[in-house]
Amino acid sequence: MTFKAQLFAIAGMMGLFLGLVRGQPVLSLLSLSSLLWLLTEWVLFSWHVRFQFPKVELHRFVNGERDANRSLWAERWIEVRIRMANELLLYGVTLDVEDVIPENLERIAFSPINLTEDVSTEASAERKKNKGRRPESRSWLVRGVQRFMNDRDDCPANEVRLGLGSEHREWRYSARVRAAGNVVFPGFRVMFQSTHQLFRIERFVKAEQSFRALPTFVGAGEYRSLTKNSNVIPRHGVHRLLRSGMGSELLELKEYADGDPFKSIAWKVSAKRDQWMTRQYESEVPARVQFIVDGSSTSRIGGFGFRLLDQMTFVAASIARMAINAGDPVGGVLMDERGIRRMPPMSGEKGFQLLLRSLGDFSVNPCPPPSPYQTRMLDAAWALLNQRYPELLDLKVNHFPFSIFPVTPGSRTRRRQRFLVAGALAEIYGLSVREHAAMIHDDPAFARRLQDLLNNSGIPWIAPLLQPLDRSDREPIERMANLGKCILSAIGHARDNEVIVVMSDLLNCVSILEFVLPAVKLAITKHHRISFVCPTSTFLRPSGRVAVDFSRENSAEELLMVAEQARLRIQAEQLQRELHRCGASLSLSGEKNAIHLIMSELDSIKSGHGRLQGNLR
Amino acid sequence: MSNGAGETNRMPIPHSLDSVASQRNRIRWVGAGLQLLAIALCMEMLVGVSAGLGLLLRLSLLSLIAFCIVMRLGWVALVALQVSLIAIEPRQNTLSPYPVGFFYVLVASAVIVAAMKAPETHRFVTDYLVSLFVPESNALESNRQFRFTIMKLSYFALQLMLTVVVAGFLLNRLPIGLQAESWLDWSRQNGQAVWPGALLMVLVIAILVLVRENAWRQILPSQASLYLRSVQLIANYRDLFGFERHRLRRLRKAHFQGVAKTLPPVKRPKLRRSSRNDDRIKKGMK
Repeated sequence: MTFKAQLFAIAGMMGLFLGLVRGQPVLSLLSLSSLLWLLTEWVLFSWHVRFQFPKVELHRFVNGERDANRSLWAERWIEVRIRMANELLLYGVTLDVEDVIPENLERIAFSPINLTEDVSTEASAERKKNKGRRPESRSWLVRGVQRFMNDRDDCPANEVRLGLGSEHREWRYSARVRAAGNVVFPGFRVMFQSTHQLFRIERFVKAEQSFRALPTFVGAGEYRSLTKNSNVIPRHGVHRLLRSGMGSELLELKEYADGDPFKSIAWKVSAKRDQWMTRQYESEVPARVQFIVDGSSTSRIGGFGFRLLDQMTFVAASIARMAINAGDPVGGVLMDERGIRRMPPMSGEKGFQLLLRSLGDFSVNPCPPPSPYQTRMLDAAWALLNQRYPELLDLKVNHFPFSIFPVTPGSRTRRRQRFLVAGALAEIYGLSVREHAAMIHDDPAFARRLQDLLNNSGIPWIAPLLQPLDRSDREPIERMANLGKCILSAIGHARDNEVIVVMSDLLNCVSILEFVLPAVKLAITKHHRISFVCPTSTFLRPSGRVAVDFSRENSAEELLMVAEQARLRIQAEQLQRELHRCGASLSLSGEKNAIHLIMSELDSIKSGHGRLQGNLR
Repeated sequence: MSNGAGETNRMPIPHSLDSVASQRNRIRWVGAGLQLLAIALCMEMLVGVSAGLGLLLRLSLLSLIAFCIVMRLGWVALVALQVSLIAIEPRQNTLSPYPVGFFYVLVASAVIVAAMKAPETHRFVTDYLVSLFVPESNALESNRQFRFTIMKLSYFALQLMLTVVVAGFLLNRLPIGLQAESWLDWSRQNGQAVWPGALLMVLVIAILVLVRENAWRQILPSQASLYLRSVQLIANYRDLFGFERHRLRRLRKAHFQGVAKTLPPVKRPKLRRSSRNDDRIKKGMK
């Protein structure tokens, strides 16, 4: 029963009472008939809830398929189609259905297959017209008029209202996958409501579909080699190495020594010099790429598509695509707090798909590091539970002990919310009563459960789930130590002529690079190329000159961006100096320049030419 | 950014805003205005107290009613009619409504329901007007909606009629108000002073049982589990609170005593910067 219905019932009862007391038959009749009308509405609504609600069965088709084992691609469009399986008899009630969209999806557009009761072409045109306006800037009066006019321009694309006469049980919307990882559609939020909005019931119909989201990549052939190709085209996947071997290209001539094969004797040269000379040939080896992707917690902070990890996976997938196209095997090491996972060198289309799957799975956020309890965490969990578990927040079933304290209304509301959320969490996670009580009084335990709930629901690692400033001082040191171990592990598994690409957030760790530099030097000593790709928080490379135009009014965001760029530039210079000293190259920001750098390294290896040392790209 | 895989990035095609849609949009506003005006005029006529008021006050009352309807405050119509009836309806010895009163209640209830349903019926009014003035609009769709709206309206009319008739019957038959004395005399004469009370009590208990049974059957298994869990928590809350307080106090004490104050330091590797070995490595590579 909604507040409106309660007011209506109170007015009816008061009128009936006054009519009986004062002996006014019309007043009594009007009030009693209003009450009876409310009663019939309730009976009708209860009948719908009892018999029609269990029939609600919704099917979701993503890109035309209902099978959840398919993969989606980051930064690409998907089309979601919803179909109601059963016919419902909706007399005097409306059914609002919302397909709950995961955080990793960005809802784009709505295209109803058929017109339903409240969705029409002009509503979508009106929506398009009002696209630039902020809904929250409208006054309550304007919002009221719009609600009256049934303008559902504020209605999100994934919602629809069904009623009597809306036979079309199918609708669809488009969305874009924000980042690699997974896309989990949890289900549908269904609301039965009487047409006068006097009675309402909300439920969440679980229809979980989980898809793996693969990282996007740049297509092959978009980046040309920066160095001249060799005249002799080697076999696919085989490249020249300027070291003596059994290749076909001449490397040098040298004096004959015991044990040299006779067929390598250069007869003409020997005749001219009057000395036995032999030919030395170049090596022909495959050029392999090894990624080291640092997926520690710092690289996972931020919204989907704005994480440092998203930049890294984009670069890794793009380079893998191009390297595999050239026939070079690609392997890697994925590193985070959970440990180190090694991917063996893979080639071919199947290998590329396996690599993308590994990167996609690696992009799924694990359990977040503990964060202290904040009331904003409770607010977020409250909103989430209201959306996905509305039945568990019902005061009829979720009881909590009464207490006089706290007295102030705000604190009482907060206490009530905490008790209700703790009860719902205890039910969701199947906790004991002792653990249930611990959540109510123990802030860290409660915060941990709230983090679990938010993280399992696909909320990105942003406030309030995680505070970026909560990191301990040891975290960067441990990360650098792990990174050094990873590089050593990669060197251990490497053969000659490999490109090791390290993708990690090093800008804040310039002062503790000594954990990494020995491994870098070892890699150089072993004749490998080592490149660092360092993503930046601004998604931009710090430019050489930072200039602020003070002649015009700069916004705070612009000034903040300039300041951040200046800070990054200083750190980048220090980092470049340190890496250059060891002979490693560095690219800042996970964008096209990073791909250029790695491809140049690969090209220099393939052509057997000189190296690109310590370039800041 | 282009993608390397076979799929294409297609933007969804937005709906075009053609002339029919814009014309329809204009008619919507006209229809809404007409609908509001009709309901407000009916209300103004029904509220008899405004008959003696001036034009300005009547207009103000009219706009207030229209405003309440727009803001979905349909129950205000009921209150307004009740206040009006309290003020102008004469007191009577019987609660049986006369035919005019019965008709008045029927119309008033219809207006109240119309006021509450105004946002929903708005689309019906629009469709009807559009089918009249825009022949090139989707006539089939309009006809279909029109048919369903007629069904809905007839259903609500029937419901309204039934409720008013049943209310009139109850007011006639039940021993409430001024009819109580005559009914009491009749009951005493027949020696049945208690039975209506017992019957009413049984009826009330039966209704309560039905309501509770209905509510219980609507509960989901998770809700039932949560209900038991919360009842158990409330029953043992004092003890559990004591345990938790004791545990937290012990933890806090251990924290302040510094059981695990610092973690062991990380061993930093020794590194000589720009040493002769580095130069040798670089030369070797070249």
